[in-house]
Amino acid sequence: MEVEIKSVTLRPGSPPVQYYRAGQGEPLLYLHHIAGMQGWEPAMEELSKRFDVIAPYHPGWGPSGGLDEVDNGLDLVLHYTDFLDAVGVGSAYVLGHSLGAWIAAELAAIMPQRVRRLVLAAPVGIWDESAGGEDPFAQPPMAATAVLFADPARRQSLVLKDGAADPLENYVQEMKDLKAAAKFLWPLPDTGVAKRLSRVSAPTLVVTAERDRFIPPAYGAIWQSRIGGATRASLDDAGHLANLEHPAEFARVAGAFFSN
Amino acid sequence: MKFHWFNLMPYPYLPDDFRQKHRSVWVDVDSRLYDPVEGHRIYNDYLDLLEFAAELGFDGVGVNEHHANAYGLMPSPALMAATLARRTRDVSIVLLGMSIALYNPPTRVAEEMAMLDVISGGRLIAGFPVGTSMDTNYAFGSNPATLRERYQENHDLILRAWADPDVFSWNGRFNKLRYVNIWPRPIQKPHPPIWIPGGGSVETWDFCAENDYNYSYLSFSGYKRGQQLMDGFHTRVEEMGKPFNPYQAAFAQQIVVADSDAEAEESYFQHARYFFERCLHVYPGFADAPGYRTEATIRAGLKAQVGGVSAGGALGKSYRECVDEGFLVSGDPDSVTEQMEHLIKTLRIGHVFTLMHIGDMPREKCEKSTRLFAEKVMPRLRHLWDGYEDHWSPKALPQSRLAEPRAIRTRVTV
Repeated sequence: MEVEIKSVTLRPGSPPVQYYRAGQGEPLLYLHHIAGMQGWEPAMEELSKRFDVIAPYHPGWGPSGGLDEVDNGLDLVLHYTDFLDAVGVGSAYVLGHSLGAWIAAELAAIMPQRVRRLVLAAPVGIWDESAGGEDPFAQPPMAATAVLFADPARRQSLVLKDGAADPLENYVQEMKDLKAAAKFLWPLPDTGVAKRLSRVSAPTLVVTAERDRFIPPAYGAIWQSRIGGATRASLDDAGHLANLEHPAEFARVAGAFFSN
Repeated sequence: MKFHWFNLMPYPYLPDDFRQKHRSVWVDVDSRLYDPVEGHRIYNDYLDLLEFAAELGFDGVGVNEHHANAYGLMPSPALMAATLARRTRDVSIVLLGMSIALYNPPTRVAEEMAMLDVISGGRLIAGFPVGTSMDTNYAFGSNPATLRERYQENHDLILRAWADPDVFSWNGRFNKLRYVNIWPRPIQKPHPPIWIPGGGSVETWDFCAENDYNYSYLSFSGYKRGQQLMDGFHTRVEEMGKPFNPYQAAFAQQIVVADSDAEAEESYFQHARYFFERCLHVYPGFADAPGYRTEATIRAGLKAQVGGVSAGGALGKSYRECVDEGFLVSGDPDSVTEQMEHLIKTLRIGHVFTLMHIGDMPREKCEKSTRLFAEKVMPRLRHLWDGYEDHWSPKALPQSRLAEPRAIRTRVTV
């Protein structure tokens, strides 16, 4: 299904938030990974069969401006609180992926009344010396996101559309998205969220991907142990961008938890 | 025309299989390759070479800042400048420079440069590099998303710290200081000349042109590849309606002078190959952190300075190709004079950083090449920009007011 991008302005003079919204059912806020979104993605399409999926570009990613206005997690929480108000949603299921999972966790810790159930997929924001993880910001420039796939060759079909995407434009966009991610995650992906996770009261599912080189599966237990009652799931044959590699499975795991 | 003698201070004992066994000379280069006892001799040799160049009549001696880098052993360039300030008397101390975005608070830079200006009697050139991505983002951990904004704020704070005679407070985005009041203050008023070493950022041209700073293009790709960037700078100056002055522009060039072209190739080229093959072996993932280059620079299609060199550059090229393509200015004194005149005129620069110590070149060879340049090349190029006034060199105290450092003496046994 073609879904048109929408735009909403949160405050007078602030750059508009660009977002997708489609589907029937309870609202589901979809917070994307460090490298943005490939438009309206197949995993969103799948989820939209059962939910009212709302997928914004974070400030500074894709066509959304406003990176200068957010400096930390609190700014992002307030941004999304205002965004939910602006799109008329009181509380939502929240699916956060990667850096989006960090924002989702902050939102659930600080604004618990806005989050009904929470899925944290490949969550970024805690650095553990022994769990480690590759540096997503120190990758060969023209293949910066290859490390985010279980099979780097999948980037060719999923991001570069088998040659249909202009490599220079894609490079410029990837650098822009990763710059925005770096603003919050440089030089180590430790956002300090760990100390706030005990405040999360929404039922929570932590999902890791078996072949995630950025957030290795060992982080699953670390996040789970800090959130009371959290459960865990794992995705096979998937790297950090499991949403692109296996969209149906990604959507099924999250959707099943929200429908529970 | 002015000539400055520059030493990157490379570690000369990287193994033959360095490229095969190691992914990068920078950031995650294996520290086990470094022998500090050799390092002791190397530092002293390199500092001797800088002092030697000062004696031979070069206008300035230059040092710069790198971190976790096996070809640039000066993480603290101010330390090197300090020893040169005491051991030289009549050359510019070209500190090119301190990466001002990395100092927290950057009043540290204002203080140390003021100290150097006072110790040297007003001979300091203050270089304000952004620094490479390898140095600033990866080795020093500075955030690439805000590096350039931090650079700008730190620049503004340092300038005011030098110029404002009153105590002031600074409420910036990156620095909050209740009392800014540096002691000492520089001899040169309002401040030492500011030179901006640039890699390939288009924004740097505007910054230099707007502020009347010297634009110093540092690359190892040679003058033929440097043409586009130097032209870009001169064009911006012209577009802003400012007068052309060659002394506002500087360029770094690797140079070898020998008695004959054959000697240059046979005796010296191996050291340039060491540099191109081992010292420029940088893992491409460290060349350009996301946000380090602005979108405008990426779109302008300019290669990150070392990444570009590392990817293509002089690697595997013959001596003749390296000279023909400008990676090296090399040959006998007549040939080097001719090449340098061409370089100076095509780039329209009034200052050149002569990179005469290259790779693992031993001291004696470097001294010979440096002497030939000073005695047989430099005098024939001095006149090139007669008629232009150099506003970008230090205004030192007159000789009569310069202090005379005491000579080094060994311990007297009583």
